[in-house]
Amino acid sequence: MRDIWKVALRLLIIMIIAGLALGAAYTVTKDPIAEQKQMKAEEARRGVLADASTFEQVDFAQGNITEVYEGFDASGASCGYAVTVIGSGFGGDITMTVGVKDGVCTGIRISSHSETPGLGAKSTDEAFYGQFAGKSGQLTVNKNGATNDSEITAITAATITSTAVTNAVNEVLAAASSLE
Amino acid sequence: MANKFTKTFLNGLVNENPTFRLVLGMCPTLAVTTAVSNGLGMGLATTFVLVCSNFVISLIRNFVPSKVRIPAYIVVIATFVTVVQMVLEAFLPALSESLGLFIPLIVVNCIIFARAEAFAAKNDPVSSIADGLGMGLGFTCSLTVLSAVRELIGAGTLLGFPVLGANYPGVLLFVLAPGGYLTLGLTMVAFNAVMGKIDAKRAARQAAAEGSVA
Repeated sequence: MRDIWKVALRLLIIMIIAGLALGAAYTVTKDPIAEQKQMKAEEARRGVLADASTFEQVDFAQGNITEVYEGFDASGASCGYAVTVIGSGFGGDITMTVGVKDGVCTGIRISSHSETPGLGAKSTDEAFYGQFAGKSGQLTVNKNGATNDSEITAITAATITSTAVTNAVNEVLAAASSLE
Repeated sequence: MANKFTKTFLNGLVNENPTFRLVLGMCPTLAVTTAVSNGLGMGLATTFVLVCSNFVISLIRNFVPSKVRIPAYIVVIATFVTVVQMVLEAFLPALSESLGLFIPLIVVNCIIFARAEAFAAKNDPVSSIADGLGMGLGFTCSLTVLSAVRELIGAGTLLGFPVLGANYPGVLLFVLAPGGYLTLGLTMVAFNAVMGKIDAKRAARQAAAEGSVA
């Protein structure tokens, strides 16, 4: 019986030390992590709305759209919206920021995803996401390469990922009319 | 002491290579070796956690009652992994982004647990660091070799740079899971064939030396 107390006490000591170490690490890293996330989101918004110098959050959420920021240029004129939208890809959620102005997509950035490395993960290459800039209306994915303005060339062997991103952009473009 | 350190280190790197000789950590091996950058990153992250956990477990080896050693080791390993993840995310966001997926996987990597149980719990802290370094780098080398083969055949690139020309069509099979099994199996055969020859030579030399003494 005494043995059990000894074992339990020692295990408790190990747990307490581990808990304290984790708590300390959390306290030290909490603010820098929040700052990094903030910076990354800001960077994504700037990436899709190149003219904007300040952003203001707009109260809007619909379907898979989670956050909307309106961008203003240096003179204070609106230069479009940066919309955070979640698409459902092959490996889970794909979070991306889509820029839209007057119903036209100004660009997209993928901020987090869990797609297959080497396949769906190529959606973060500019060769893929760069295709969306300047597009409008209802977009479709073409596995054999885009043949017209409303088509997007799919990533080889990652049609699900390509379609997920395209559908999310479509959703933003469709919602843009009620935004503006 | 220095000699023992080197010996333990080389043991992990070659003789008891975790992937090809001990056949440990197969799940991350098959999952992440699709590109060289992934294999290398996973290997180095594992090495870091392995060295730290081996060191700490060796330090507390006389304090931990053997009845509860497994939960105690898991707590030590999981604490290191979580701390590493938070520190990377806060101060090295670029590295954290490329390794992010693999860091939580380290907790369930049986190499770390196996070394805690088989080595660190029975040896002094310095040897345990040597063992952690050797095993970790052995794992890193194996992952790098496997991912180089898969990336080269599967996508025609190495570390993202095109090697086989832009017109190389790529063999999708090698990027996907079956390619992982094929590459792992064939590389293991090659590694063990070479090691078998070396072992045979070593045994022959030893037999000859013993013969001359007698």
